[in-house]
Amino acid sequence: MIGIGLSTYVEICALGPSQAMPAGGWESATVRIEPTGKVTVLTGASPHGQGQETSFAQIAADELGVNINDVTVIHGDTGVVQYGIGTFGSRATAVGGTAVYIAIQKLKEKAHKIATHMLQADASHVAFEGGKYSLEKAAAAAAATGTSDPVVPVGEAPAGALPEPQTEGKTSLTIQDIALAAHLAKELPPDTEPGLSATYFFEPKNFTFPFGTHIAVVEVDRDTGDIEFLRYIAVDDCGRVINPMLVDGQVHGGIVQSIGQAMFEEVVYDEQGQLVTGTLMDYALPRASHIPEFELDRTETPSPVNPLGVKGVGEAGTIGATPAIVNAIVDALAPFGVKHLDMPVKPENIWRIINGH
Amino acid sequence: MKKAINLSVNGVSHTDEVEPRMLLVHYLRDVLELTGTHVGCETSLCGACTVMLDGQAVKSCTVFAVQADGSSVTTIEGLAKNGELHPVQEGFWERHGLQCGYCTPGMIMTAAQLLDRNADPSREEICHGLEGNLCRCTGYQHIIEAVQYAAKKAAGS
Amino acid sequence: MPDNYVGKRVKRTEDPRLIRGLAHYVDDIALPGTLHVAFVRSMYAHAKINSIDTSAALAAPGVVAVYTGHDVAEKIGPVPCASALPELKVPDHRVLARDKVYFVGHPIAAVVAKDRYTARDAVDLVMVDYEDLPVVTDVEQATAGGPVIHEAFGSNIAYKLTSGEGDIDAAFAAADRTIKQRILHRRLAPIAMEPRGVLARYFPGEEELTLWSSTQIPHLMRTQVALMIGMPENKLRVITPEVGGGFGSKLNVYAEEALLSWISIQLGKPVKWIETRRENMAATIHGRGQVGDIEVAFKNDGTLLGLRYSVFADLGAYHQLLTPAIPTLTGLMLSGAYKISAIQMNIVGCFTNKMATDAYRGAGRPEATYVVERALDLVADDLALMPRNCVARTSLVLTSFHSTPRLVSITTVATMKQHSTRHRRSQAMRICARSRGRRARKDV
Repeated sequence: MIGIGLSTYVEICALGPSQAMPAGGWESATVRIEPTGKVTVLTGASPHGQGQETSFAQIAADELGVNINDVTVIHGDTGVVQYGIGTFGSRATAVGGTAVYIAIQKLKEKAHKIATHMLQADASHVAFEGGKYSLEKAAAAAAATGTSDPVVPVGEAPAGALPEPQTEGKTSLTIQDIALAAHLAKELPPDTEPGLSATYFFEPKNFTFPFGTHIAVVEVDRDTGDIEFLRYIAVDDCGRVINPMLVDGQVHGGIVQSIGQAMFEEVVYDEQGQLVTGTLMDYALPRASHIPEFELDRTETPSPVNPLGVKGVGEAGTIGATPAIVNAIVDALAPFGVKHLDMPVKPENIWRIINGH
Repeated sequence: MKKAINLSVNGVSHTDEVEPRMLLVHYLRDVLELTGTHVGCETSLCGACTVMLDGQAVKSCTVFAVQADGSSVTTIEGLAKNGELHPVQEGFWERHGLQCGYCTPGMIMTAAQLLDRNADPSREEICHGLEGNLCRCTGYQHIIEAVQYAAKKAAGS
Repeated sequence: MPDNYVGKRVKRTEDPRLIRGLAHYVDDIALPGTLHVAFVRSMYAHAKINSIDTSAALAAPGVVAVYTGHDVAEKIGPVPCASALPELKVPDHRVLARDKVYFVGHPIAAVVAKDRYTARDAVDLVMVDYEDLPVVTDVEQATAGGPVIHEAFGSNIAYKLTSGEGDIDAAFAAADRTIKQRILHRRLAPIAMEPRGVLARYFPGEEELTLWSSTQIPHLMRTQVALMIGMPENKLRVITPEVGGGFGSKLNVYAEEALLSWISIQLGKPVKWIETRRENMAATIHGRGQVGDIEVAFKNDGTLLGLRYSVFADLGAYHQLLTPAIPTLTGLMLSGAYKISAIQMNIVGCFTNKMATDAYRGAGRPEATYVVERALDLVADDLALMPRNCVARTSLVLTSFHSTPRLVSITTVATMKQHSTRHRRSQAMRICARSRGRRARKDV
């Protein structure tokens, strides 16, 4: 017996405006470029599997025009990282990633000022492209010949003492040149602090609103009550996608936790308050053999709430999937007059319904 | 009343005195400081503790260290050879088969065993082979793809 | 943004250490001289503690200390709850029980020993004299009189809250039809694959403490633990090593984090506690735990007029960080993707003799989507829209779509084929999901 279940959701996440949060809803970032040109990102986010060491490095590498291997993302140490709120509520990239992004813009403003001074040019004649600050003509020439690769080779450190940036007659400077100059502080513009580091605390003006539709197709075995997924389709919109692999992983994981809620999991206390489901022997969890092959698709509607356009996706799967699954099972049992089933829907429940027990 | 045991772990011989009740997983983690093998439950359900014992994947939380006397154990730390990742490890990296990484060493060991026994498993065979390993983060799909990748890689295609 | 990396499937930089087993979760950190902590936890859901005899445990070889609720009563502040709701009742929950336990797993004593096996053995040597009390487990019964868990409050109601928009009574009065369905969101256990764990190391000379914890909120934890143990916040360093999953269960400040910090200060040694899965199931927060009725008022043509969700929230015996707030998040999402002019949520937050509930992946929001989407199926059914025919169901969805540009700019159309069965003629439908424009398309 086949059933189709549909679920359409809009959800509220990327927690969130501090007015609505108990202990602050902002997120922090410090981005600095070390004298040797390595980039360090300190994030107040606290990933525990979501992959921000990678996704934040992607953002930083693109914004600074450096190789991603030169970016290190550090989190989870209050002795090192400025105060942050943490990771929950699908907020790490939408709020934390935005803090990284804006900190980098502040950093680039300072780098531009230093570059302009070192190139002895007018600010409006110096452009940043491909990791380099170049004089307008040079920038145009570079663009034409496609020389926009990062300059610092992967994994190589300068040998011996720090090289002095040679600015005589130069028409462009790499951002690594700027970082070194910022630390040597021999030729900084007036009223400019040495160092090349920026911190930003991003306060979001609103939550974000991911949305989507999930459809489950199930088949129920009339003899055993077993439920099998024939297909599972999810189309979600989490705004701008930084790393599609990570987003897919979050959706898969969320859907399987929904499968858990819909079909397997329940914490059971008896009337004496004894925890009957005290170990994994009694608390059932979905395993690899229980899941369908998910078909995912997405649309990307950038969120207007942050400059990245990211909404967050950590919880979307868990929100969208549970009703689709239960709707499908109820649909399959429609011939028996079933309108609703309590979760977890187990084969035993179904068998009883089918066999009139 | 400790007992002496002698075993090889990742190719290195060890002689130690352990309480008979010491679990192999605790021996590996606390005595040998090989902390790649993880503990996720006490009831042999989750598979995070999976290692190879004489070439067979076992849940090391359900093996006493004394039972491994005279045996050869391979843990996740011993899977890569000469700095080169095992195809399964590579598959997990390529296909995002992990998120928090806690189930991963056990999952990789089980998958490696699966491919040892069946070099070209179907998707269904992979799912069945991984039934003893829980993952809460990935939803399994990328893990399955990781194993499929590894099978292809190992077959040289 | 220039796009060398963003938008691409970049392999993770986290993975090389994780796939080789070279990462460090909290239990992988070995400090010389570390002592291990194991907990004596309540076997009863509700009981008075008449006495605790720790003498046998203290006398066992390898046991360094045993702490009970009375040892820490004046020394460690209550486990924090950051929710501020009108007239919210907040139990004074301490890191170790003193005179009463109110859920199975409630920590009573901490045994500190030279290794984890010795600590675990000594737990069995601690003698607790319990006097059991009547137990409250059913949320609806909990509020209908009967045993009260926290006597000072007079009832098991932690709070009542009504929120919403529009005239719900008018909506139901104007309805052609209504549906009502009781919906159960059973408690779930987040079950991160890595159970919780804490390692605390105090440096007596510097008067500085480093706390490693498998947590999602290191800075917030630093502030709270510092307050709980009376330590200057800038002398406490919290480090999250590798964390093996959380799903909201580690978005919290637990008793063990403050207690282990305090114990390390007392003993001047590193102390470590690693949660067993049994402890995790009993004494790490649960998710969901709502039971209630969803009612929808609608017209014969399917226009949704009003939605009311009245729910009992099973909060557990005390509050962790966000326990009371979670059900209120459900209310925020009760419109779903639809244009419903009147919405009301009524929450009764109840104490029961169970572990506290708190945020678990979705944190109140999956409950909302669930009740709305289930209700919509029931509405479609009631209107006899070719029972559960997805085209008609989708039409219903589309006509009710709340078409503000910000909230929803989706045309829901999903592709699938319906297999033929004995009970239904085969029907091929074409539904693809796309986000385009501001108005829902009706050409399904």
